[in-house]
Amino acid sequence: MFDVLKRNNVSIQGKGEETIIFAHGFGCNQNTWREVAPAFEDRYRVVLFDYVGSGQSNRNAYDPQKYSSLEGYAQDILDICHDLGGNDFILVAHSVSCMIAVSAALQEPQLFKKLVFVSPSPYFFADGEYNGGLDKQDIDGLFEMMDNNYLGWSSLMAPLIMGNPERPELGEELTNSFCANDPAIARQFAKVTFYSDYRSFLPLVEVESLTLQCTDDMLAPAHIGAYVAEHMPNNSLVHLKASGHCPHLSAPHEVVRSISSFLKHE
Amino acid sequence: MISEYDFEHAPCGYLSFYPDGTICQINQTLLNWIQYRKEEVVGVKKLDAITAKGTSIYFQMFVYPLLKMQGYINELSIDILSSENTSTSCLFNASAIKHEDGSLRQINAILFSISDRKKYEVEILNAKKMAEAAADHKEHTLQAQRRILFILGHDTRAPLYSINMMIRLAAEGKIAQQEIIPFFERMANQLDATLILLADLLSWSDALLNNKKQAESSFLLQDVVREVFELLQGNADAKNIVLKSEVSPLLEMSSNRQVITFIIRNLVNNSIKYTSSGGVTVTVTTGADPGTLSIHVQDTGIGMPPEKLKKYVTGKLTSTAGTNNEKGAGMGMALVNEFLLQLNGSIQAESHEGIGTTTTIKLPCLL
Repeated sequence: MFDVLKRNNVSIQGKGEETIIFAHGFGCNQNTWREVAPAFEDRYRVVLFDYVGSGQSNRNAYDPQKYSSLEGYAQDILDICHDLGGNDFILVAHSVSCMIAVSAALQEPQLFKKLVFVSPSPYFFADGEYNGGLDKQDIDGLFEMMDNNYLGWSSLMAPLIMGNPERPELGEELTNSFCANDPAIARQFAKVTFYSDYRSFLPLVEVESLTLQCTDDMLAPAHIGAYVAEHMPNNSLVHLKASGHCPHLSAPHEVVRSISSFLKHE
Repeated sequence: MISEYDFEHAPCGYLSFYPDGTICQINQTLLNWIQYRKEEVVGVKKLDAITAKGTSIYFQMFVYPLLKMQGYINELSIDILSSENTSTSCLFNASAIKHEDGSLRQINAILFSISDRKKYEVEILNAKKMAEAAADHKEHTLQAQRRILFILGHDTRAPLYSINMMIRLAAEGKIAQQEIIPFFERMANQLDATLILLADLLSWSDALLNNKKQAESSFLLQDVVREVFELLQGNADAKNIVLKSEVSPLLEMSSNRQVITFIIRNLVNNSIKYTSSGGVTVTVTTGADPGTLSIHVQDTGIGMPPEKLKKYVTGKLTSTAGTNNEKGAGMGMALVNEFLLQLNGSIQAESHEGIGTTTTIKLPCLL
């Protein structure tokens, strides 16, 4: 068996009674939170991690069968919670991680006190009156871009990026390492991400949650944030001024403010 | 000093844009590629007007985060679209200009056309994908062969062993004269299942060895079903089971007839085997998807629980005796799965204990 904290390259900072776990989205790693997470360190225990197969996680722990659904990834989060002990976790998730968080919260609702969804989408395609914003051609185009651009990845670099969690500076020195994930794993993760349909699960989540919605987000357009808020029993929606899909990078202060006010509001 | 002319006509495209994608500077070289005039682009168009949507999504997911995180991106392979919808394959290098607070202000990029090199790259990529698919297929076939060999060894050993015993007994004169005939009948019965097993194996290896195209022919599905029914009528009569076909008399398909016969025979045979009374109906319908033919085999048999059904469908169930204690080799479904794989088909089943089972196979077809 694997030591969960090593397997998921878990980093723990800050001090506080309560714990915030930040879950990164598809195609990146925990560094994506570097301008948001530190802002919470004076009041909370702040936990960052890489999903198995991403960042500096232990690649040997990658099991294609397990990670062929978002539930497999949800297990990473649940394992980390169990390992840290206690409950009342606050889980902040970006993009695809939002539905992973939904899965985790449905499996073990008692573990979570609050959930924050940054740019969520339960389903990316159109279906009846629902319009996820993308069609198959768009996704094929995206997959083609990914196939053509395994940024910074080559099997020569792989050991440097993946194999030295104790020396993260090696990864940082490599060009584009932030997006450098094993192509085979990334392709599988992309498929799982884009073909999952979590719409029917949203109404089942009773944990209090917040949705942060950007403008001009091609992956999670404004009406999708509204859909999430409307279909979850206990979700509030906040529209950000930030544009694009990654507000925690483009407008970290706005994201920090929104999360803080949601957490203070009891 | 670089003159304005040098900049406009540089041997690479130049582009500046804001974080929202709005283009604020572009040189003539790039304008020539995308076939717009400068005033149609600068301050008017966003980057996503000259890229496909998949590329724009990629920018939101990866490029902007990278520019923000490391301040530059190199050697991104992208396609730029012109007003005429032709595309130019480019390598894209960009650096980020940031505000004092670290947020992005502007992105400056150069683009090299790599159309010829790209064609070569696509060829290599395709070859790699094909090689991977071939290796996967080979591995799968190897595994299937190992499994089938195992079943074969296992399932022929028992009957041969008992027949061997009987022959020895007979040879040693330990069997009374009047018992000889029933004795041979028992031996023949033992051999029936083994012979079917060997016939199945033969058709499987035949399909593997022969060119699939050569084996293809046009035939009426109805004829195949009738043939199967004739073969199995005796088994059905012994259990008062009615075989019923609802296949359209006009439904013609183009496939490997031997293989289709094999699949239907196995499904109908299983249905008879696990039905004690009632009927087995073979219904063939064309599915909602125009390119797919669905063949349903429905029975009113003993059914099976979900976990067993899953193994049954994938051909991983070990054979059990039928409702009349019929023997089976447990290999039929494994081979059905192998054949469906070759035909790009699929199999599904629905079952309720005590009510019956419906097995559906789907085959791609041009009707």
